[in-house]
Amino acid sequence: MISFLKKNFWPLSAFVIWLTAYRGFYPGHLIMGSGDAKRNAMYINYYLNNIWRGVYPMWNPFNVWGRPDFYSPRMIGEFNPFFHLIYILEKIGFSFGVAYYIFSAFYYVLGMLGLYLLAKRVLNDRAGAYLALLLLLFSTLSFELFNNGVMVSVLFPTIWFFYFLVAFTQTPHRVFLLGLTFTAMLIAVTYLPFYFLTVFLSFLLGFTALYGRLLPSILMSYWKFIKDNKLLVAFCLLSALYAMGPGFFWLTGSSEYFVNWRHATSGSQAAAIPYKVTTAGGYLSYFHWQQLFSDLKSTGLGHIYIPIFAYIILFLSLIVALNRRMVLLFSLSFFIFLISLGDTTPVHKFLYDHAAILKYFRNLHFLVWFFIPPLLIFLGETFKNFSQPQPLNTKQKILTVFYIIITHMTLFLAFYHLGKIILSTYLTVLLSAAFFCFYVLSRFKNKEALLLPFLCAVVLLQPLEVFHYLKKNMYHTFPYLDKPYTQAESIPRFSFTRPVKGEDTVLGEVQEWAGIEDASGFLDGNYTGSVWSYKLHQEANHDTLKNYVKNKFYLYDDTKAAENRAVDYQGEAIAGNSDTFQVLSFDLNHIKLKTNFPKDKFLVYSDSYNSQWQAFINGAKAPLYRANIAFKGVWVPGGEHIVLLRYRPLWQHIFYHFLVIFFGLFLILIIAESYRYAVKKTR
Amino acid sequence: MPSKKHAKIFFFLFNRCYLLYLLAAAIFLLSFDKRALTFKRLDFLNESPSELIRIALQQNDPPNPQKLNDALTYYREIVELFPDSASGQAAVGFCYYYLKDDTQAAHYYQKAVALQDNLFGFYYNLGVIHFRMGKLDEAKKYFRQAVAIPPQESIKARVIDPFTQGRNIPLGLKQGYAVASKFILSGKQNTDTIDPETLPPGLFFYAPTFPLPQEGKTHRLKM
Repeated sequence: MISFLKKNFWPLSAFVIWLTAYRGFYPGHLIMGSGDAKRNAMYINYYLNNIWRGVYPMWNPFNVWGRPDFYSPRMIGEFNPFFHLIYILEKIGFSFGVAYYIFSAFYYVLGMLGLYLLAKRVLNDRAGAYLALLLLLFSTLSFELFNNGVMVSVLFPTIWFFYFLVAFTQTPHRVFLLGLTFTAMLIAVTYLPFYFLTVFLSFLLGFTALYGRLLPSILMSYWKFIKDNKLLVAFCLLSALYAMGPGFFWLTGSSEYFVNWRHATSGSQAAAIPYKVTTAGGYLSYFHWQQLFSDLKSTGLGHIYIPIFAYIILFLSLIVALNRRMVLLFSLSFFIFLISLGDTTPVHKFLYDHAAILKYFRNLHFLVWFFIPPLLIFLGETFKNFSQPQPLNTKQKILTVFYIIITHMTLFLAFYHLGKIILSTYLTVLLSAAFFCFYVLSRFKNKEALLLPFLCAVVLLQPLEVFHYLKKNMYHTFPYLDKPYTQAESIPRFSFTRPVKGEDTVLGEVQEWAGIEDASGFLDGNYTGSVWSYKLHQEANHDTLKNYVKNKFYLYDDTKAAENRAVDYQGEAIAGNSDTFQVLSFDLNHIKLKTNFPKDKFLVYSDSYNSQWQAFINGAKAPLYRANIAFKGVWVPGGEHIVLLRYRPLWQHIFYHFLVIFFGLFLILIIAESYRYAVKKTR
Repeated sequence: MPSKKHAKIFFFLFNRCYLLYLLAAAIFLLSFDKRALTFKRLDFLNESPSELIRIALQQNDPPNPQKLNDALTYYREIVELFPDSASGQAAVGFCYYYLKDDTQAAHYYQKAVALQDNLFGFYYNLGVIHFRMGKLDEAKKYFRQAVAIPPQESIKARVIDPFTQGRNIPLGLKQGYAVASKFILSGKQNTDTIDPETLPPGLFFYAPTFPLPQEGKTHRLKM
């Protein structure tokens, strides 16, 4: 233990300093910037409350007259077992806000640990890896969970995926294959694995181009491992396939709902997105390169900030000798950067036209945090090469010192010229110049021992000042998250009526992402929804419609409502339980009724139709119709019957529930295997 | 044939990171479409011009500095795209005036009058700006040029005047002419002695007009 602490003192101290700095970012409530961060946190709470009472939320009956709950779980990657930490912390007694805040810190540190281990594997150098870690750890990525968690939920598994990939390639071992599979599974269940695929395919392309000669031997070692571990490989492949299930169901069900309500009119559904939509907005709309250096006092949520030392190293590295690894890392980063620029360069358009995966995601600005890690590892490599040169003679030493002074002076003057530069920027430049000169000129035998403390001081100088300003500028709040729905409150309650349009009491945002109370269904700017609800919104007169959708059940003597030419308003509304009609049970994914009509009736349930809903009368499957443009209709014979309406077949419910457990078991398996591997290694 | 030594020197000089950076910079500069970026930014800020209209309509309400800065960014991009838009240049000047940067405000209004010299408001605004800068002779010069312009073109233009806030443009202009004339005739030598009634602080705001690229071309503003 002591030797472990001694060996990893500097990386551990970086985490401790970060945690200390991060501690001040919980002023008694959760800081929540953009809508994405809020909806993620809201949905995580909603999901955990439901899954821990045994219900996987597939359908949301409270939002826009019912909609498939495909999109929200994909946003967070609901099978990620780490989310359950929040639930456990809540059970211990922490509020949701504190639990979420602790979880964010834990998840971030875990992601950064992945980066450090990856950099160490790639660079085979502690100082270089430590530099990459410090630069990313103290960037504004720290706060992206409070601004946009989607990207972080995909980014961290991506970092760990690459760690396991490199580790498995270097040392084919069971634990690395399990890790590779697990991270791939995590990515597969998140919103749009296409960000990952873009990075992964770019990497493969670059690696093949630069290390093509190594490929046969790498593939041979893989093949040997597969032959020796057939069962394990088959298990991993099946597990990965299993994790693709939710994404597959999402895509195949996309024709009946809009992933983005705002784009409904342009025909954009869950699958392919029109080019204009993919390139709209982006960080270039509001980001100016000067913001990387200047006016850091106004740094706030969503700003892109990397400690200034990164640019110093970039500048110093001009004369550093290139190697293939550097070319690969830099090219990968630069290529993803070009894609992230959207329609301002032809790169994205070309790929959009020729590579299918680019058609499936927008928000190209998320790629920013995907091109930064390889760039930082590249900087780690340049730092390694710069700080470990061949022994220098006096003339070379003088030339190197001259170069160090010139580059630092140029940067100093450039910053001065830019204006609005914070003090720590100048101090960092001065400290860096002094250290590098000292490093080159000094005659210490163990110079490398100086590198880690120096890096810690020089990298952290500026971010600690920037974090101070960030703290002042992060004032966003979202009161709901300080006291969100509890698990007991999350149990859906059935009501025969909805509020009439204009009488909604629940905040629209909460209703849309974590709603457990009935709403009128007329939401302005709603994000996702059923195509049928949308059609109804568009076609029907809202004044008449608002009174119709107030009731959830209507009885008809004929099936005119199922012709779907217009809403048949002549039905007889059911106001509550009676001798002829009773709601026996209700939850997110089903409703069970007891009917005793004097004659056959066409029953319309004003909850959105979807072809994956099934109707059963006395246990036997019965046809389910789309009625009144958007809703579900079923013929119910006269006499006493039990009518069950259920979203998706039973096997899919089992499929989802088991997947939740499977992810947890897989994580335990990896931890156990890692422990065995570590013990074996130390022996 | 190059010798081994030459090859070594060549390798030493060119196998360096700077080459990678130069290559990346060249690819970036050759492929980057600055016009597309401008449109992206304009679309992002497309609601910011409304702040100028708000200021013009409610001259007594203090401007929102953040919104005003956004509007300035917006119109600076606009005049880069459409440098011949006199009202665009004037809008930049208008932003600077309310951001209390009179030198820049005067600079942009001078650009505006160089592009269109038949509007009363541009000269009048220059007079007000120079007065606030304490340059009374310059102010008088511009007021003189303002009153020398026949009002016909100014009445036709989309303008919000500081007197009637655009509700009655002929009346607003009439009052503008009167104020300018009064100032010229006042003969006052320093700003302290000018009666605030003589020279209200507001500016004439001309809603910018510029040719919008048509649908079907590469870029189009969401306006």
